[in-house]
Amino acid sequence: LIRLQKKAGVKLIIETKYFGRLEIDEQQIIYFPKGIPAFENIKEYVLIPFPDSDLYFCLQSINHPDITFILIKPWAFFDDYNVDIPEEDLKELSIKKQEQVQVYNIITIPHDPKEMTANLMAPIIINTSNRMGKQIILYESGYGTKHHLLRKEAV
Amino acid sequence: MLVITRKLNEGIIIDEDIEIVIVGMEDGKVKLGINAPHSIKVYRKEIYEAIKQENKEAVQIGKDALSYLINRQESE
Repeated sequence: LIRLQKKAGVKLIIETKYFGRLEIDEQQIIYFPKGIPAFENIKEYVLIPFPDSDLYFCLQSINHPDITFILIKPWAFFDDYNVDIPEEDLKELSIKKQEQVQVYNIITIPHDPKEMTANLMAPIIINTSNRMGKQIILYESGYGTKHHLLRKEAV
Repeated sequence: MLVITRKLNEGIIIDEDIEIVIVGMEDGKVKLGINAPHSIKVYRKEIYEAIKQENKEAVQIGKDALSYLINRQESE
């Protein structure tokens, strides 16, 4: 709701962790009403695709340059990934139809980047109509917080 | 923190519509039964903590890892 009230065309300059200063349109801001677990007070982000990439994105806080998550679109890496969004989460994000939904997963890159993992238990769900987002938790899915991205391709 | 002592099969009510009952106690484990409206999310604390921990690790990514990702996708 808050997003819908903002006017189009208002530009902001934000400081980013990886891409320096960027000019963004206020309409690009994604609002996380409850923040992201461990960062509950940080609610406004923008999604920045990596240069020349359709695989990786940065979910960058607009006010905290250091707070940026690297996201993937899960189906590029995990063909059979299944996301069943709980009713309450659909309501919370005012999602009415599937076309409004974008699904991403946060990746973690340890010291050895080949060991990077995706958190399939807790995907980031974005309603593209009202630009609201939430990291939901798929409790009974059997997914964990660390699924290797590279294992399949190895050899 | 409010601390309340309960016996087996006793319970507590929170905010009129959330009921928590001690349904079993053995081997140092306590089994809780929870009745709550659908809109109330009940999580095992360690799952939520694991997600928080994962998120904290996820923001620690350095610049070198980023260039690794960019190079990696060029070779894909």
